[in-house]
Amino acid sequence: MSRISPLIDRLIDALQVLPGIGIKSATRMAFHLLQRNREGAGSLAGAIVDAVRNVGQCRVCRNLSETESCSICSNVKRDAALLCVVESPSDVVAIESTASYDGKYFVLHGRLSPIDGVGPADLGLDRLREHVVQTEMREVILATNPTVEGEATAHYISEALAGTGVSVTRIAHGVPVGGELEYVDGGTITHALRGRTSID
Amino acid sequence: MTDRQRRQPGYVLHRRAYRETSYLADILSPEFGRLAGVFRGARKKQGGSLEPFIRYGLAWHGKGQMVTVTSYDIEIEHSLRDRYLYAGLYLNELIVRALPVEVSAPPLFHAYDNAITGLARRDTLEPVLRTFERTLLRESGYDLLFNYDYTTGDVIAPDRYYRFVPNVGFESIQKTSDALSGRVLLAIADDDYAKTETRRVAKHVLRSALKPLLGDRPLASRQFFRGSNHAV
Repeated sequence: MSRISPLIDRLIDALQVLPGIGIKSATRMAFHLLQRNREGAGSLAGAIVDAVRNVGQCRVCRNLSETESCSICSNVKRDAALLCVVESPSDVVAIESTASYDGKYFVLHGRLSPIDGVGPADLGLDRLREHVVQTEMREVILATNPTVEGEATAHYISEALAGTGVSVTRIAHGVPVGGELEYVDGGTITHALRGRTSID
Repeated sequence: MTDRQRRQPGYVLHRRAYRETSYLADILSPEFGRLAGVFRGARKKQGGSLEPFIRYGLAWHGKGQMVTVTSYDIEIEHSLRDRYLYAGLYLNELIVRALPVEVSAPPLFHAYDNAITGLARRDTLEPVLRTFERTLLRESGYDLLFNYDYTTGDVIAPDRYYRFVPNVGFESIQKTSDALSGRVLLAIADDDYAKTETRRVAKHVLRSALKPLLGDRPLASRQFFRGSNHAV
């Protein structure tokens, strides 16, 4: 694609850092911002600069946060003895959107993945154990993804927390709500059967 | 150039996200060994999981380093849990680190298939791993003979003692505290790991035999076994 001008080219290149944005979409976005919404463009640029400069990790749960302790960790109304361990900040958002959980979180920012060279130290597991011991946690819910690496991570954490006295649970995996058994894969059905519950 | 479709059973050793909706995976197949496959749109597919320890019937186009997988049907889905899952991840890491790409290796595929089946069945861990490690060494071009003295070419004698020389083999020595018993070496040659002593020696010798293939970087999956069961 022919280049337009140094500044516009730079903007188009920069927009392509976004997932799913190729040169065509980036060009469309650049022209939109410059032709139709310069005010919006200014505020977008400012928001990106501010966020990158100020958003770090919560000292307690490792979730993305601009304060030392994030809003969930500092909320005294939430159950501090209940901890949900997730792989990524977007998992926190997913669980929060259900409004069915009122405990706290711990974000691993990944999962054990030997071939990618990700080991226990990269996931802050020492800090997790320390946190569990210090806060006298009652229950740790392992909500890593139901993938091979997510399962290995969950098992590793359960072993690492052995002897702390905390109850360690794993989220259930099974048939999606509104789904039909006929279309569910074998692995999921196996999990669903293994994790069956009695009807009260 | 013709670009015909190839069909092979295969395991995914590792997958990573590729572009928006696809996966790029390390595949192990019998005739084409280890290759990189693009699974287009596989991340969007609900439920049709692309995971390690599942044997797929694969079809792909293309030749060389990267192929495009056109279909992947589940043949057998092995369920590996706890330390058996770690062991499976260890095998995958071993293959990716030690086996060069595109080396045809039907015996290795067969050994991997057997090993994963054994891990899913929760067989005793060490025999499964050691048998596989020996096949991997052989298929990577390093056939370590546990039943011959490399200096003389004689068969290992059960009542004599030996030491392991990396990259070469075993040589007869006087009995010392760390000498290896001929009886133990012969048991390893037969993949007979019933005795604790055989398991201990096999783990130790195979670990140093694999070292040149793996390079200096330690295996990440070995860390998982800390504190639980030191099978690797």
